[in-house]
Amino acid sequence: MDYRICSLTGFKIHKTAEDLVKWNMVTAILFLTLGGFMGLLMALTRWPSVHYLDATHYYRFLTLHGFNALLLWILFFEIGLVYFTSAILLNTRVVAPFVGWIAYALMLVGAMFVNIVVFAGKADVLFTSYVPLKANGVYYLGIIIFAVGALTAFGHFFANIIQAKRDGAYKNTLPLGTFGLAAASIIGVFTLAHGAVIMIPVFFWSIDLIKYIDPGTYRLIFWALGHASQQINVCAMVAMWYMSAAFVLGANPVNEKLSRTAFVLYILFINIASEHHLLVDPIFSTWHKVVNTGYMMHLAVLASMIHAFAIPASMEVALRKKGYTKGLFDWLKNAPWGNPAFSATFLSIIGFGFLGGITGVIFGTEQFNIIRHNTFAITGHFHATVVSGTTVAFMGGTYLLIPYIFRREIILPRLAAFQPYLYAIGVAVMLIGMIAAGSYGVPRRHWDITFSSAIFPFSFDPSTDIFLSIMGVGGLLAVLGGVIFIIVSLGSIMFGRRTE
Amino acid sequence: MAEEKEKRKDKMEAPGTFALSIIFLVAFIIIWFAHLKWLIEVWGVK
Amino acid sequence: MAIKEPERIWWKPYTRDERLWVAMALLWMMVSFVFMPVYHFIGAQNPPNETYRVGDKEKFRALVDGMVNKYKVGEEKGFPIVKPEPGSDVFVQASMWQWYPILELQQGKTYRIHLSSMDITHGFSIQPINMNFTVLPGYDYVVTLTPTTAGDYYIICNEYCGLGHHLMVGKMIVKQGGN
Repeated sequence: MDYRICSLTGFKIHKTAEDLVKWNMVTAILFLTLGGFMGLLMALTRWPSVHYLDATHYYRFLTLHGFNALLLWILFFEIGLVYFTSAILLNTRVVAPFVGWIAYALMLVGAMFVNIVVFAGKADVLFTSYVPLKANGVYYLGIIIFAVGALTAFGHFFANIIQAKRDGAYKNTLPLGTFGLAAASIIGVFTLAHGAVIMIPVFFWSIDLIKYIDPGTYRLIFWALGHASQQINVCAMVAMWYMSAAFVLGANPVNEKLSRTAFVLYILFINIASEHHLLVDPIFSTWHKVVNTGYMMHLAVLASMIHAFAIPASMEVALRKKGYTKGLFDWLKNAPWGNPAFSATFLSIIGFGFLGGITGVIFGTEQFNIIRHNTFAITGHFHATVVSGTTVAFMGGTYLLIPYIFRREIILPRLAAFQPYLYAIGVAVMLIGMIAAGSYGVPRRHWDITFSSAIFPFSFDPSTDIFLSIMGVGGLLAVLGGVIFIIVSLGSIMFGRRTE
Repeated sequence: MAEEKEKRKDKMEAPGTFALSIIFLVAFIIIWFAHLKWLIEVWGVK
Repeated sequence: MAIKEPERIWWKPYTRDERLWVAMALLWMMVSFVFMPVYHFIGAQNPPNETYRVGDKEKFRALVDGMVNKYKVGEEKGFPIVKPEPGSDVFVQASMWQWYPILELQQGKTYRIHLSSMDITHGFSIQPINMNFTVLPGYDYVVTLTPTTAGDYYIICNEYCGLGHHLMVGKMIVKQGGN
């Protein structure tokens, strides 16, 4: 068996595990580059005074932006974390390495199918592809192949931890980071099962083998895939928070019981809460919606509030142990703000909680949804969770893992230290602009909110113009931060000084 | 052991984080009530 | 540490800040949850839940046309302006890329507005008051609406419905009460 001992952490690292983490991470960063470029075009088009793309390309690239930035970047990175937590953290091996490579290949092939068919202009259906809006069959086929690949990789996680137990890699309990990815993998399996339940019939419908797909049913099951897959992200992101705190500060979770309970709350409740996308849809009764989004969602939100307390608390305890005990916030002042792995983690907690969490609970409340459904405020909300939350956390994770996995030093360290701030602040400004514009009714996914060629002339409150310009400026800052991230991360991977 | 447990029970381990969390909760409640105000301003619907 | 297997006994008692925080977070979540059912009894703005299946789209179209013939009071840009009686059933048809017809409603009166799509999913978004509902093909969504402010309102589509999505604007006129 091919192992090395990491000189920085002391972990015993299996060669295949390391290679799988490397390939999945680099692929993730490449798809982030594509998705981020599409994001730039989106910001430039919805910035009223720029209005860059024409309508056809706006909707086409919007489809690509969602697919690459939301699905591919995040899922490839998470699969990297699957191998990191199920083999490297446990000082053990990846069982049946070829399964890992098959999963990777399937995901890549599916991703290419979708990208190519959308670029070719055969699938301008946006990320949600609500039937009866129809794309070319290759689009659905690509999603199915990608999902099968991801499902294989999540399955691989369980094979790895079972084998690790047999090998005596752990005695009783998984480390919390692995536990978090176990929650992510469990949610991943039933999420992708929902994906299969809906995408396979839709594929047959797209090639005319099935006559009719009920649009209401599609929306329900699609969101069991679409929203629940965000909970994979939440679990992986929270696990990343815990791991970053441990690696950077040597922080112990203040209470393993509390943190593990919170992960279990995610598994039990968050998937069922995906009906908040359908609050102003026909079909479901009030009581159905109230139980589903009310009871279930709030318990999952409670879990997030527990993590968002437990992780900074663990950092605080670790820093207080180092002697920063004066007053309430001496520890915070003396935290390693110059370390991008730390600053990204902290910014991610703040962004996810304050911006994404608060808006998510409020917009997901049945009555408030009337005044927010499908407005730009929703776009603002999920950029807060997925970009200023997950993406920033994973950027920190990249900085953290490059020395351990790629055995390279980070190039341009001062730029790297500055990058999380630029990116997180840019994204925050952008999404606050979105939420403000959305609260005036500005719709999401809309090429021309001036309605310049529509039959009836309608224009929004003039202040929306300012909010959308704020969004544009924030978007540009974020893109700049993203470019720096890509240069630093890929540059370090290729040209960084070797650490051993 | 039991004594140590008892000690842990009454301790504030992370007062700074607790203060930050309270700020979060207050912000949450303020924004929530702002939305209630906006909701009441729209037309009646059921 | 989160990266190492924890010691054997990791179920420690909760500290004071942990207990307080979880209690407060849970309490606030309960408030936010209980608000939803309670507001259905005390509030005026709740998501409608009356819905019917539309087996044949032409039947819905016939209901729209029947209403237009009965209550038509004018025309604007080729769209009939319809002034239905308060309390009556009003039918609005969504299709790529128009809302049909134009409604003239009275302030403070209640109408049962039936929404259905002839083709794909659309979003019924009344602006600038900013109220939003989903319109699906094959379903009739009954929105019982009481406009409380007078003026010209516009219905935009806020669910992507193809290349002409941004052209899909309809109109709704709310006249002050007492005719």
